[in-house]
Amino acid sequence: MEKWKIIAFLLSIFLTSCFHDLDEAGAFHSKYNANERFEMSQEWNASHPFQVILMPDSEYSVLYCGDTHIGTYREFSIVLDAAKSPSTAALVVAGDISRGHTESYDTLETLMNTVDSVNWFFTPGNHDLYFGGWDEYYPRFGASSYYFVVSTPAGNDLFIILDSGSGTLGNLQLNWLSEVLESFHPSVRHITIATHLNFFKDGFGLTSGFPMEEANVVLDLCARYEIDYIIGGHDHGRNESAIGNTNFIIMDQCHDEESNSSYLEIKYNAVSCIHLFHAIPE
Amino acid sequence: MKILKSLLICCLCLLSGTIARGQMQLESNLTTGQNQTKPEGFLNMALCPSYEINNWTFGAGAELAILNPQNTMLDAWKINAERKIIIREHEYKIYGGFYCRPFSEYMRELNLVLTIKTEYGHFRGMIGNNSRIWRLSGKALEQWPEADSAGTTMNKEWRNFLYEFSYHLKKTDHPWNIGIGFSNTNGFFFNQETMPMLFGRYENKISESLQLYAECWFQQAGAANLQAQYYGFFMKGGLVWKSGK
Repeated sequence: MEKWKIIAFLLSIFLTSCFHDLDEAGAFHSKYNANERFEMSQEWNASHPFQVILMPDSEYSVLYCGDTHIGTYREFSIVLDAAKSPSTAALVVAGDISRGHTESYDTLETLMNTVDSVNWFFTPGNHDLYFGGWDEYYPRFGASSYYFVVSTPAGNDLFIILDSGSGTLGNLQLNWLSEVLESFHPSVRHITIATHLNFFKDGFGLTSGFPMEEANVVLDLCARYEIDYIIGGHDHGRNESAIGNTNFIIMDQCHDEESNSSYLEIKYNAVSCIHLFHAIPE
Repeated sequence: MKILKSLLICCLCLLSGTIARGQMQLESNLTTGQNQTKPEGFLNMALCPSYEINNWTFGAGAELAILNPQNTMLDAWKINAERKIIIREHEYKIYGGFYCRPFSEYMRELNLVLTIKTEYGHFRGMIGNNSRIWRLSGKALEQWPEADSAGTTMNKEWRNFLYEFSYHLKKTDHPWNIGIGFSNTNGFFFNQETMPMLFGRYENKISESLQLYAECWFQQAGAANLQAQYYGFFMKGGLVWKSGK
């Protein structure tokens, strides 16, 4: 028995040293669960009211990217530059922005402090929560569940950012999502939800989506409130599907160490919204 | 209502078949637990009759949501067939099933399931695939008639690996047994392959025709993402009754 304990111990040391960016202990224990992060987010939201972005035209764009895994940020800088366009209302980064380490967050915070004239919105992915990453994320970037509104002369559009970093939205965030949709639905033109995980998967895979019961609750909300887009990342591979009124987009990564990176642009106007991907040159 | 009628007719046919020459089986169970979508808890009851003849088993079943239904009281229903085969003197069961879950007024979750299962001494194993289709309901199609021409009436996930592996204290033919295992499927629902659930099972054959069982399941979210948390649990208790041949 002692022999097996020693082998298991050595194996865990070996694995930990091999995968500097993986937090194996997180598969068994997380310091903060989805409900706890949501409650902290609500505290933040109470003192930081939701943002309203005023756009002079009824037609505008919002850019989306994810899985930047900073470290380095050459590709993310290209997206930040694109987001400076006057017709771009906001940039949403849908999780796995950092690698969870303090130095990774330091780099990200320093970078974002240099960015002005871009309305950027973050939500954490699983990597951002590794190594106790929420303790780094929350004081620097605040809430992980919130919404903002883009207001145009022709009407308002609602953008909801959800925290799915630990594989579930949690019952508190689900209830909140229903309430936000119920209160805004009749009065807004378009509704977009961005989060890290995906609701659909494409083939066999090693990355998790949502538990089925939870995916079905969200799919019901999509149909009930005629949500236009659900945007996710996580898989590092593009996938587009649609059911009813709702488009489900899985974005490519925006990571310097991988090829075929891209970011997503959704153009909103008075009657419709369309999306297109922009490849990031290597 | 049509579905319930069909199930009733199916049960009557199976019952009349028993009298003829096959073997009738009836499995009934209660499932209760809680998860992030139903933190206040839920209670489901399932009834699954089946009929066995010449190495084939044909079955049907329905699960009723007694407490906290997501949409309707008819939580899910299924039809299924199973074939016993012998390879090198070892028995395998090939199972195919069609499952429907009307979880929303606007949407249905359909699952086509194909598995193979077997038992070796203390071990039981199952592997297979389920193809999941989400499709709009009739009400949704009335609301968005353009979905048909736009090709957005359904979304398909063709490949999802199913598995269940368990180890039991006693061999299969023992009158009682207790075991632990992991799986991504139970009863009427099928998680993605990256969402295993842990379970413990106790079963007791009270007589030749009656077996009782109890299961306890632990659900975790995000395990394959290495950022995991508790998602839910459920307990299931049921009985399996077999008619004499």
